[in-house]
Amino acid sequence: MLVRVLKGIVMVKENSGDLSFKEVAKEHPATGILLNVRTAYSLTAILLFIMAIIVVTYHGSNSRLFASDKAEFTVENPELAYEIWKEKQVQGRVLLLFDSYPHMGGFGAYDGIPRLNRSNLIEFCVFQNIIRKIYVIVPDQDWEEFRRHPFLHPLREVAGVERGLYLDNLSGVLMIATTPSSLPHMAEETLVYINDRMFNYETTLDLLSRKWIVSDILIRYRVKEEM
Amino acid sequence: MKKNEAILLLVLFLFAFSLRFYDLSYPDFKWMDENAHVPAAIHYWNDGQSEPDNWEHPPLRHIILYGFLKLFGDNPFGWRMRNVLSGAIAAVLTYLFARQISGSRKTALMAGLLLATDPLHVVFSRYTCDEVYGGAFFLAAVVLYVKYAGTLKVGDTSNVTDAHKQGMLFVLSAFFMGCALAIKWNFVPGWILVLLLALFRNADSRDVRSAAFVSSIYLLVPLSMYLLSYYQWFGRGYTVKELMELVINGYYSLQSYTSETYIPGMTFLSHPSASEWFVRPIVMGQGIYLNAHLGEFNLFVNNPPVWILTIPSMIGLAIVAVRKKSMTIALPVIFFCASYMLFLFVRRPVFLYSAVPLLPFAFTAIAFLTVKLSDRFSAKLYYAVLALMLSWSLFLYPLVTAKKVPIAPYRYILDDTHINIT
Repeated sequence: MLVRVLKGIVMVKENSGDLSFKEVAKEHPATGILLNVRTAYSLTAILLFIMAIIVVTYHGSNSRLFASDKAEFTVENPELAYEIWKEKQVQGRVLLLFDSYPHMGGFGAYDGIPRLNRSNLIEFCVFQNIIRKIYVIVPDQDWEEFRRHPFLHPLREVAGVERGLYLDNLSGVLMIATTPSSLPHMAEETLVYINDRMFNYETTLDLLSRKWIVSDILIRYRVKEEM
Repeated sequence: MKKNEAILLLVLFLFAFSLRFYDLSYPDFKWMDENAHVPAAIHYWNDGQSEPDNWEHPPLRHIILYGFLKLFGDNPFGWRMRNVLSGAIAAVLTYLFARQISGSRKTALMAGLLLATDPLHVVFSRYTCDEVYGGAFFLAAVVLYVKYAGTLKVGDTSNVTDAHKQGMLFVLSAFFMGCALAIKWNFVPGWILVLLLALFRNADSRDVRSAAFVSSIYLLVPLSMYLLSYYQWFGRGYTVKELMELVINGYYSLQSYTSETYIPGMTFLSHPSASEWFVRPIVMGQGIYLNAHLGEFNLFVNNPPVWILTIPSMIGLAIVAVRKKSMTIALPVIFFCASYMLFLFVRRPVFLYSAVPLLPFAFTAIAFLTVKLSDRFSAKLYYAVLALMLSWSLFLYPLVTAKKVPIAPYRYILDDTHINIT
């Protein structure tokens, strides 16, 4: 079909200026019905759209960088997680945050260029394009209290997820709050950050395994006295 | 187009450009939203992020501004030339639109001059306001569509060259519509309207190939533009599905805006409704009294002596269109209503700057009826109305563009309570 269309376009071009479309169609009845300028433009528009999707998809997928080998780390300070992700050269990643709601104060919360501190690990990594999407995991038993929190700005519910909310933030980064029971399967490898004081480490690993979620870098945050 | 009309258009462009360009480097610091727009343009180009600007709006604005920053430097010219140029081009496009609608040069000239001198359009053309260049893209799309609609019809005996010319007009219209949509969603009603008008033009929708042509061009070209404007954002690792998530989130976020969402004391908060734009005076902005007799102000005004004629003119034009059974004459009314309805009924505060893209349609209607009335009563009426309107707009020019002005002649405007005086 495509070959016939292209042949027709060539024929129309060759005959341009001399013959009307109707005449071209008369001379080449097999292709004439489909092959006129409008069809060519329609096909071009469809091709343009497909090309646009391919270009941005390719660009997006090329910008996601994964660690060459899977590893687990234990850190005493949240900031150290950034050093690990930086060293492993990961970029454009999904983060499963087994911790409290991340600091997302936006550019306005800083005096000058944002710098990493103890409370802004996640936001800083969003600024650095290490993280593109965040799943904030809230313990199932805390969900109802969490969603009623006055400082939370839920945008909408996540379709197909029993307990899932898109959360508003100043950078517009995709941020979904959900519970361990509602956490969906992830097709791509994720970054995982577990705060030991909020989530049991072994239980969390078991959850990931049950959801077929694979992580290339798993970070466990434990304060020193607990180690 | 004849040579003398081309010269007229050039003069109109230069006039509109001069009003917008004069003393452009003042103030030499970023003011109001420029503080967010300029760093956001750099941030988006480098990192695909819109902060410190709003993330909900599509990002073509950042890309264009970044281009101007590269061209003119990170200085007042780099920040504002995008708007100066598109504002001046909008005056020319308004002329062309009014000419297409009325066939009259007098109507076109009046509409073009009204936009060239409109105080609100001038002020926002000297600033980084999205509506000026977004509105210019939208108007370009409409002008090209009207040109396209006036060419070949289904069943016309045509040659390939004519058909290609017509196709290109429609593609260009779709391209500019895509640019407008990739700047703000305000243009969605206008986009759908052009699509429907094109589909039902001469029963094109009944011919499968023509319907496919109209739908594919006017849906997919703008959508491709929209998608490609997010190229830098995709550079953060995102997928097309995630773009859809972002767009839906953006819609919900914008719907959740209330007056409390904005910084307290923001200039535009004094008038958060579109219902008063064309019916009562609106004056807001900021300024400084240099002494008892002299001041300097940057004001956003709706220019009541001209704008107040909008609704009556729209009604008048609608009546003329119905009587003459002319869809072409009805176009300013249809485009105006499609855009204005959105602002009237949307569930969030709407500020005066959103009126900017409506002005070409408003001024076309006003000019059309003025010419009709002057044809009926006296030719002098046209010149008298034009002279009055332009004099008034030019009288406001120094007041709204931060020139040093004597207080006395503007006292009754400055007494308005919505001016932040420093």
